[in-house]
Amino acid sequence: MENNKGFWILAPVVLVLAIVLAFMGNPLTHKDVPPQQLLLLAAIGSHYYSTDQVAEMLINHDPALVLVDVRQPAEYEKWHIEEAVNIPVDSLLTPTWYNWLTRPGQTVVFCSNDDALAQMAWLATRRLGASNTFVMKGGLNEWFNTIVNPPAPGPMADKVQLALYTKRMGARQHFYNLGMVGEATEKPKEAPKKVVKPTAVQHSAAEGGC
Amino acid sequence: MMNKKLIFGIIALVAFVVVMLLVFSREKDVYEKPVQDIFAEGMADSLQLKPAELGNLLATGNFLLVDIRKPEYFINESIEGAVNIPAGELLTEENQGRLEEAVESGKRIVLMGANTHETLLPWLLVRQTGVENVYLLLGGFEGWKNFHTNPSFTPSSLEISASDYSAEIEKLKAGAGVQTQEEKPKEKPKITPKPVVHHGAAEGGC
Repeated sequence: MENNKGFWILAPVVLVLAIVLAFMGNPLTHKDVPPQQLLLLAAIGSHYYSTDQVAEMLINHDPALVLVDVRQPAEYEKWHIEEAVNIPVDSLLTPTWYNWLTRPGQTVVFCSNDDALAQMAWLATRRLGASNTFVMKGGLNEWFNTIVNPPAPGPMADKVQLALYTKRMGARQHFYNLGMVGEATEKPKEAPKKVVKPTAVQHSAAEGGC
Repeated sequence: MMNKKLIFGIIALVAFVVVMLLVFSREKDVYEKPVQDIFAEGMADSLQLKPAELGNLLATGNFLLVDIRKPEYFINESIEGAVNIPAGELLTEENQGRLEEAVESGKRIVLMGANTHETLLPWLLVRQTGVENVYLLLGGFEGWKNFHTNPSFTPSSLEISASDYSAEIEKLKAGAGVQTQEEKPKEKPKITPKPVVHHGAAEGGC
């Protein structure tokens, strides 16, 4: 009789424990980084690296940088940044690649044509707990427009813009052997002259007339 | 009798603990979908709305248009009928409730940031936490404004395909030094109109 009673106590306890376990869900999901945390990171844009930053890291041979092209192999083979490795999004989350990417001390920067696919890669890896993944803002399109073929600074460009242009021309020379470095330094010299054009002063004189 | 009371007491206590555990462990902002879904959901274009389609939706009145930009931008300029929930606050319990309420009443939820890229991650995260049928406005508010000045404007899709850059680079290499130097003088004349325009505005002032 006493044995029986013991079972009666045990049964609800086991049942309750089973329910708890069932509701706790998959233990894997508990490692997930809360969405709120990721949302805040995304909202302040801290997941972005600019193409200029990536170019600088590549030129300096930054040993921490791993540039990952997350497009499909066919697209990658068509054209890619020389230093980028190809890990398509579908194989990004396999334990082998995921563990390789999240080794401590590494800075992983994802890139794709635009940056939508790279942002998805960022979200997936960050959700799983990675803290070293980033996105190249604007992707390869932006890379082409800023590093391969940077727009010449306008006549009203300030020092910062001119310096950026010089830097980009240098990067372009480094990566694609395009354009002369001397040429790049000439341009900024010409541009400031334009800013101080007397025509502007003449116009203000006309204003005085009115 | 005492034994039975004790047993019931224990059961009641355990049940209480379980209920408390359930309440606290099931936060509202927890993922409802597996990680892999991020890619599938992100690339499927069924929940992406073009500005023209938003125009049609606005006419029906059956929508919840969420402007996820910062309040200062929202106050300055937005679409009539939009509500402002800054991106960072989308997952608070109150706002989750608002979204779920809209889903239940059969409204279409549309997220609108400044542009597509600003909207992408909030959109994916909201869907990952289980709110169904949330649309993303392609082009964001910038795209909407462009659409209004030019009705034929269609914002590009999420992943704009890259053009043939290897060919472009070859082209650049072929005409490298000479072309860029030729372009310089062409840009010089452009300078003069600019100051004129600026001064014109100033003249208006006097």
